[in-house]
Amino acid sequence: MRIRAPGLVLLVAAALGAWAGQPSFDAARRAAAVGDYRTAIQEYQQLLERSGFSAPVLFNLGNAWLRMGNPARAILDYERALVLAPGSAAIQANLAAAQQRAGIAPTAAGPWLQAARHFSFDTYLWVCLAAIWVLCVALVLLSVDGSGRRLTRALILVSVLMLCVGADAAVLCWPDLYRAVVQEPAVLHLAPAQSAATGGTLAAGEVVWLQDRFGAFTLVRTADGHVGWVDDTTVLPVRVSRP
Amino acid sequence: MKSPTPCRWFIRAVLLPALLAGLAPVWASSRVTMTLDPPTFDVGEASQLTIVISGDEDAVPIIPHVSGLVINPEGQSTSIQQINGAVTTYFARTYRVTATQEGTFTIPSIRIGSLTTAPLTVRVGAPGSANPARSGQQAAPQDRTTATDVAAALRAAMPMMKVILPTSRLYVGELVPIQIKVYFKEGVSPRLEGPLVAVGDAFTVSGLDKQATQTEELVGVTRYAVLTWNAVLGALKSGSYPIGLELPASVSVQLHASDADVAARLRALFGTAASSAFMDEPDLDEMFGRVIRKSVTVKPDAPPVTVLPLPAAGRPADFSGAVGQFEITGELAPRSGAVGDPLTFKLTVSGRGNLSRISSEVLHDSPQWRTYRADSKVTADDESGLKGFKTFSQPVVPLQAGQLTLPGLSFSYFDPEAERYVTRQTAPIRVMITPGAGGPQSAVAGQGGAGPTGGAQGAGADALAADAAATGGVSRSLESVLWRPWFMGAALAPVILMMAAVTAIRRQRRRAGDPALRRQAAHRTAVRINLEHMASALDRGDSAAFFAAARRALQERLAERWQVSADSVDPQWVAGTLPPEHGAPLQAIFAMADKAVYGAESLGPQALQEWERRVLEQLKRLESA
Repeated sequence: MRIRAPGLVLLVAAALGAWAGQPSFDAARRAAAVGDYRTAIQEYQQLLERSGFSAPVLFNLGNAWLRMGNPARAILDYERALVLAPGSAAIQANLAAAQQRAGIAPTAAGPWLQAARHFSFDTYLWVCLAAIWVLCVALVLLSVDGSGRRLTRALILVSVLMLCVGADAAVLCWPDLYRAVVQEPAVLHLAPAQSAATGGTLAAGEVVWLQDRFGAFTLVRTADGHVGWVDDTTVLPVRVSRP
Repeated sequence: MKSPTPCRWFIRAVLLPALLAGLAPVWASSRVTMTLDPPTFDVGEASQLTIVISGDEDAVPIIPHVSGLVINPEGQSTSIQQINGAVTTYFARTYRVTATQEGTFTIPSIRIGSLTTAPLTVRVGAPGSANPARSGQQAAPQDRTTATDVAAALRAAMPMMKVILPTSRLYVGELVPIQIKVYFKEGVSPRLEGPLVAVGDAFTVSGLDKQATQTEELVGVTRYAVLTWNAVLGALKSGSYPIGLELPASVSVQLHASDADVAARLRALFGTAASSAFMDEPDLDEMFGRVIRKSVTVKPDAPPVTVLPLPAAGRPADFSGAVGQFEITGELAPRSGAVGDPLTFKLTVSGRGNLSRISSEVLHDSPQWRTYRADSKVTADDESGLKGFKTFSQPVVPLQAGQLTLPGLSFSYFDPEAERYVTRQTAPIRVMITPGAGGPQSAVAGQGGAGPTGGAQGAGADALAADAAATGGVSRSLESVLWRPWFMGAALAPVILMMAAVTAIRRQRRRAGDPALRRQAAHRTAVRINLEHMASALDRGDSAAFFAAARRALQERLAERWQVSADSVDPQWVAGTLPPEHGAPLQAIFAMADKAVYGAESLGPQALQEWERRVLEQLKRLESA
């Protein structure tokens, strides 16, 4: 018993120490509140790596980057936060502020695209998947003799409508899968080589669309339709598999 | 010594001299000729000196200095002629001859390897004197006259290019529509070898028709096939320049002379005396020695065009090089908004002129507006691109609420018809801006420092929406579920299941509608029921019931197997249908069943179990048979 008690105490102390060493959302917020944005950024990034992507964490991280004077990185984190919370007015507001600080013109989207962006791309995929299941079940029911044909037909109509709407919205949002944010001013090359002729420039914080990749270069398309190769370290994709 | 026979004498005395006499002119004229085209000209004009050498001699002629004449090399060409298997090579060198003074000059004999040309007399008239010597000149030697005539005939057969301009003088930057016409004389088989291209740096040619329009025109008494292109000519620099256009083509010429000498001269002169537009390496295509195909590069036969510089006097400060006639309009869309809302100011310059090269003044930052880089887009109204409009789109963001005014913009251009600068002005645009109601508006207004702050979730001191207080839901990846294999499986699974279910349902329906399948199902059901009765009778020790059920089960199985009625199956049927080795066990079971049912013979449990084994064995055999 004498031996066990100190061991237990040590175990509890180690657990507490380990818990104290874990990145904490509240600690990051406190650091940001007192203006220690560097610490806040480290805490938020560790939290993302440990727990995964979270819209509030990405939003707070973007705020910290913006207050640190890095609007390009803030735009990237806001864009990532919008993937998880597409309808958030707060994220959109701070994104607009970051774009303005970066000197980037607000991107204009058509009414259909604006409406489609109310939900995420994956939401539309889930809607389509549910519609496919309902449609298949309804078709099986329709092929079985018996009552309930009216209900079955209503199910088919609803599921087809869901499928059409979901697929249309997903198609509209499809380019968003390839969004990326320029992290530092870059030059658009006409070919994937530093010695290739240049065809324009990219500003830090500008949103581009990834098209292709070759070696250390990425082919991107800008919002005004220009296409060129850039060093792939200068653009970071919005949708990534890991923090 | 033998005396010549009459035959040999005839050959030596008559045929050989005659043959040599006939060939002599050919050899004499085909070795080297020197011609001047035209043979007389005025000071300030130019003539072309052509030296044609046939055979293997390819030495370079050394042109002597002739006082009063300037002779500069211009080009060379090589052609090969094959007549009746005899191949002759012609080397032709051309020189440009100009005169510094009027008078009569003599180009002395020129030695080229082992060959020597005859001297050539040149008459040069005063500038613009329309040299009378052109019509009454001294008769040239016979071979030179023939060559000149052939060259003239060929020149008449060569294609011509004419460029039709609406005006004889242009201003730098001015665009005018032009028509390019290429004339091919009737009887000449033309073939285009490439596209019409612009050369030189004094003009641009744009909006060229992809396909030429083909028509026929009568010029004097000669009919021409005419190819016409429409295009737009743009002047790039001031001065006097010819319009640089080139059309690679080839023409086929039918030779009417049968004289091989004329043909040889024609070939030799074709690439040299006819036109300077000939290529260096002519492509001779010969058919029976009568048709020649020649590659040519057709160039405009037009005087230089005068391009005037834009006047410096009266040039507005905002002039950016627009030349033509233009109108401008300015509009803001949408016409209302909140602080921080992006609006788009569109300046449209429409009209006729060098739209693609013009730029315009843009809006600049002010306390009321934040402005961004303007994008431009040219939209052509016609295929030539001469008419259309250019739109400058500039995002602007209001920083204050209230009645704001976007200032008017000016645009200046040079009107080449009025020959003066013109300045157009857009009207100022008034727009009502409401205060931001949170969201992006509040954030942007905060940045501008002039609008209200506050947002849906409250704002920090720097006008950003405040940090979130809770971590919320977590996602391990931001990649779409579309790329996960299980999602594709989940999407395909219902389709596969649905198809399987529908297939099974249809199959069941089909079986339900088939009499044979229905009978088979009934037999199998009857077998199953009688086997249950057998087991029940065995438990009770009821021999009669056991054998009745056993007999019925076998009848049903045999009826299913042979497609007969179960009632018709009896020992006689078995004996008549099945072979003895298969029928005997069944007949034994049927006989025992008769004894048990009708003879009231009762068996013990062990005997019944033995009979049950036999019955099951027979049923199994019949099922697998």
